[in-house]
Amino acid sequence: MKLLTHNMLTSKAIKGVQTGFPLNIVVKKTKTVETEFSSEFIQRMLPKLDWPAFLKAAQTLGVGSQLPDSPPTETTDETVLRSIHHALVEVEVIEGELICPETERKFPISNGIPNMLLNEDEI
Amino acid sequence: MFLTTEEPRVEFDSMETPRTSAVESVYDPAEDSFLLIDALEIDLDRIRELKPSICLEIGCGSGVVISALAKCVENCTFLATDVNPIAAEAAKFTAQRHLPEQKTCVQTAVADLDSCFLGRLDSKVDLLVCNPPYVPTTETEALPDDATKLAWAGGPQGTDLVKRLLPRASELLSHRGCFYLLLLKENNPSDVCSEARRLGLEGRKVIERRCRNEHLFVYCFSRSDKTVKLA
Repeated sequence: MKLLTHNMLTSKAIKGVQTGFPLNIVVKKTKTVETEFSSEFIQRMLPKLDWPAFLKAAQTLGVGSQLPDSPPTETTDETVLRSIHHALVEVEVIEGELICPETERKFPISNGIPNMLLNEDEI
Repeated sequence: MFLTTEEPRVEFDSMETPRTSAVESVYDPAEDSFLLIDALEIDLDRIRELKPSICLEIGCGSGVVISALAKCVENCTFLATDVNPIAAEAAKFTAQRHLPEQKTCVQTAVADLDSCFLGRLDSKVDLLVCNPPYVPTTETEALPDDATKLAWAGGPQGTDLVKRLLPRASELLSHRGCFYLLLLKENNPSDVCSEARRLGLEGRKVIERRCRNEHLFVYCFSRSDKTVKLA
């Protein structure tokens, strides 16, 4: 699970949960894979991101130090875009957990894939 | 690319069919998956013009469709869900094998439909793709007793999942977004289109093909109220 994906995941499907976002991350194992940088890709993703959630998740993974406090505008230099790229798509949580901020319900991440399935009595 | 003798072979800026590995309990790509890929291939220019940012496949199975798309659409995030954890893993593997590692941007999650993205992807999905369980099944047959069956058993009309997905599609699609859906003749595509229209989505047939005993269609749904609802 890359942080780009984490930024889209919610536990709102749980009965009674208001937003279920952002999910807290418990990291057990991460992997970093160098990925081709495309400033256009980052520019396209920026408006879709919830910046505070991304920042918090990046800090949890220890890759947040280079990130600006607020989402950069289109004119931002490549150094900043590259640090966003790194935190967003190069670092992946391989093993760990996601935790619903409202109910503490845990979702396992294994082999890099979050399992968000809920039991029938939870929805 | 899936070849048939029924239709003349047309050369598009071609989409390569990814190789998958047969995994027990994951639906193997078959004619339906290939027809969906062919439909996307026909519309590839249109899709690229959309400059999609977010593509979501519901029920990705082996991952053959999303991987084929990811290879020929640039600067887009590809998300895929499947209720079967083994399918989610197979899809990730297919994407990794089909795409160079430094380009892989297919991310999978185990979830029912788009439930894991609830409230975060509304009006953000530019490309939505689904090859649903479309086979009409009796109620007892439809009881999910194993993972593979979930991939094809579609309920009395074969549209149980489609009926749940259409309202979601109308929430998820961006104002120019497209939703590619595979249907079987027995699903009554015209009924599905009427239901979609009620939700503000206009359906267009992209391709149809008879494969053995199945008559399959791919429809593309997009917002009929493009000028009103801006994402």
